[in-house]
This record gives sequence, structure tokens and C-alpha cells, in this order.
Amino acid sequence: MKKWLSVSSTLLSAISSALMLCSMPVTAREDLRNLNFFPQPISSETVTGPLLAPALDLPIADQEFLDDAEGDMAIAESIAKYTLQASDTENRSGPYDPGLIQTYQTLASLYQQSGDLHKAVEMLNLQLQVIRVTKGLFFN
Amino acid sequence: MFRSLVNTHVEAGDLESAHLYQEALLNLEMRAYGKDSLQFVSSRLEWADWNMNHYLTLSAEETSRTGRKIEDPRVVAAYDNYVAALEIMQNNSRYADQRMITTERKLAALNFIVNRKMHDLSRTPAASTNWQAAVQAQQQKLEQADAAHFFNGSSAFKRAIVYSSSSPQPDYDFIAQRMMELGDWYLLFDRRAAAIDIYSNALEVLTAANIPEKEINRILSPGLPVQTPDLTWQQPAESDQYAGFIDVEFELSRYGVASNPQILSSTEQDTRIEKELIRTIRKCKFRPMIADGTLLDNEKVKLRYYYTL
Repeated sequence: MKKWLSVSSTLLSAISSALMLCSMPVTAREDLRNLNFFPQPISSETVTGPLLAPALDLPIADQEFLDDAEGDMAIAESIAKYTLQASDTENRSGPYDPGLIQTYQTLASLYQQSGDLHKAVEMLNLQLQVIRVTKGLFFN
Repeated sequence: MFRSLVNTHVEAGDLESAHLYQEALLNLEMRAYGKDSLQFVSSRLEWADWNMNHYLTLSAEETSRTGRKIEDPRVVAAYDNYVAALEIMQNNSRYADQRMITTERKLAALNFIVNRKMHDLSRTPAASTNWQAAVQAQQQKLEQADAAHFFNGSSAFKRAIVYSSSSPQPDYDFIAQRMMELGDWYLLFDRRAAAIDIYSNALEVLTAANIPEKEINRILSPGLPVQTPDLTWQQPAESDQYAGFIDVEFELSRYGVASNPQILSSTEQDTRIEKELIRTIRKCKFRPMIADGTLLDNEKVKLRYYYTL
């Protein structure tokens, strides 16, 4: 019985080690917590293959920056336009006008694009409120 | 609408709120379609995947905060919904539905994760005055859990093979891939002879179907580490995220065990990372090497391990 127990605990420990450590990618411990390995067979392709992405070409990066800046201005203008539209609708027909559903959706997308996620969630919650009032609690 | 809320909350890093909205979406779709309808299967699978991703994202942080916990409600929800989705598809004879195979693989992966978690937690000393009895009871419990998880997982992989084979025009590449997964499962649970049998069967299927050698090598991936099933939910790293690589060589037995690992070269020559890699290789299981349709023993294998930090 003792021998059986000893064999079974050895087996158990082996299985345990395999299950614990054989994951791929493998997460290392302590200060290498984020270390993950990605194995590949070595072939001529592997040896000559790029290790890291090529450095960004600066002129293109500058152009992207300008494009982004123009994009940001366009988003800000659109946000102002749709905020005004929502405000007009609210003043004219009240806070639960079905027309607000699309306006809030657009505003949420615009805020999301601008990176203001809290405002995006706020718009989506307002939209949800209008949907619940106008179309019922379980409308999907 | 609800999806937008979920995505926005995820993007903002507020997973708890996103989780609530995802659950609300499930409830709405259940009311719309009916809980046992075929249309509701996608919603069930989406909710199950959501729970698993949520669990895998937070579990390390949560475990350190909340301590020991095996029956996580998200894992239970994922398991229940995968099983329910499978039952609905089976009842509707949707055997050609690719989602059945994917879901079976996820069921196996769930068994693997829960089993690993049990082993992980068993390393914490038992808080009992009768220490020896407590250790024995814990070992017995682990053995029973190992057996149950092993059989549940292998059944899932076997069903996936059956679904793949049931098509009027079987895709032998695909069938062999499912067989290799079952072989990997056997190897992970130290059923080495059974693993070799199933690997050989997969090779026979591919050879009989006249699949080109290059394609056979891609499917069998000889000499590469066995992937653990929990990777089902993980995205592979992009090549531009690699911090470096290490080339290694080792001997590989026909049972997938590596020995004498040697570092050949590395980009950073960081001994800590090299030691970690050697330790990893010694503990890993590998798919055996194959030549001319037979499994080879004590073959030299060279691999390049890219790494992210």
C-alpha cells in the first residue's frame, strides 16, 4: 500500500509539473513574469527573417501626424455639430424623442474615435435610456 | 447598442461594467430567440467565450487578491453554455457545423485549465492538524480530478474527430489535425503509448490521402512543443513585439521528452532568460520527430525561441 502511494505520488508530481510548466507560450516567474516564448523550427527562412519591424520612415510619420491632427479637428467639429443637434431635438421634442437614438449613437462613435471613452459610455447610456422608454425594457 | 457599450467599456478598461452589459445582451437574446433554439447558440457561445476571456484576463490578479478558489462562476458559466450549445446543435443534427468542433476543443481546454488550477492550489500546504492525512486526502482528490479531467477532455477531442470525419467529403488535413490534438492531450497527461499510437494513426491518414510531405510536416509539426489547450482563447504575439530570440539544440525521445538542451546563440545573451528557457524545455512535452513515415528516437532538434518581455 505504501509503495503504491509512493508510486502514485511520484506520478502525480510528474503530471503536475507537466501541466504546470508545459504551457506554450510559457510564462516565467518572479521578475520575468511577462516572459513568453514562441518557438519555431530553424530553417533558412528563420535565420534570415526579420526580428523586429523596420523603423518608421520619418517623412511618412510626419504626414501621418498631420493627417491625425486634421482628423482630430474634424472629429471635434462633428461632436460640436451633433451635440447641438441633440440639444435642439431635446428642446423641441423632449429628452425621449426617438430621433435622439441615432444622434447619441453617432456621438458615442465620435467620442470613441477621439479617445474620450467616458463620454462615449455616457452617450451610449443616454441612448439606452431613450430606447428603454420608447421601445420597451427588453428591446434588442 | 449593447455591443457598443461592451466594447467601449472594454476599451476603457472597465471589465466589470462590460461584463454586466454582456450578460444583459445574453438575457435579451434569450428572450428574443428562446433558450433552446438554434438561433440562440451563437449567443451562448459568445457568452461562454466572454466568460473564459474574462476569467483568463483577471484570474492571476484575482487569485493573488482573493486566495484559493476553484469553482469560479465564470468558468462554470462557460462550461454550462458550451455544453448547452453542443446539445442544441446535436439535437438539430448540425454535425457539419464547425462550431461543434471548436466548442469541443474549448471544453477540453476548460478541463485542462481547471485541472491545472487544482494542481496549482494543491501546492499550498493544507491547514490541518493531521497533516499526513490531509496530504493523502489531497493526493487522492487530485488523482480523481486528473482522471475525470483527462477522460472529459479526451472524450471532447474524440467527438471532434467524429464530427470532422462525418462530412460527406472529409478533409483529411483537418481530421489529422484533430487527431494530433488528441495525441497532444495524451502526452500532456503522460499517456505516452496512447499518444504515439494516435500520432502514428494521424500520419497514416495523411499518407493514405496522398497529402504532400510539406503539408504533412506542417500538420505534424515534428520537434515542436505540444501546445497546451488553453491557448485556444489567446492571440499569438505579433512578430514586431519580440524582444529577441535564442537558438537551442536538444535531443528528443520518441515519447516527446527533451534532453541535453544547449544554447547555440542568442540576441541579448541574458543568462536569466536562457536559464528560464532551458528549464522550460526540460519540463515541456514535444511532438516526436518523424522520417519516412516512422517516429524517430533520440533525434537532434534545433529550435529558435522568440520571446516577448
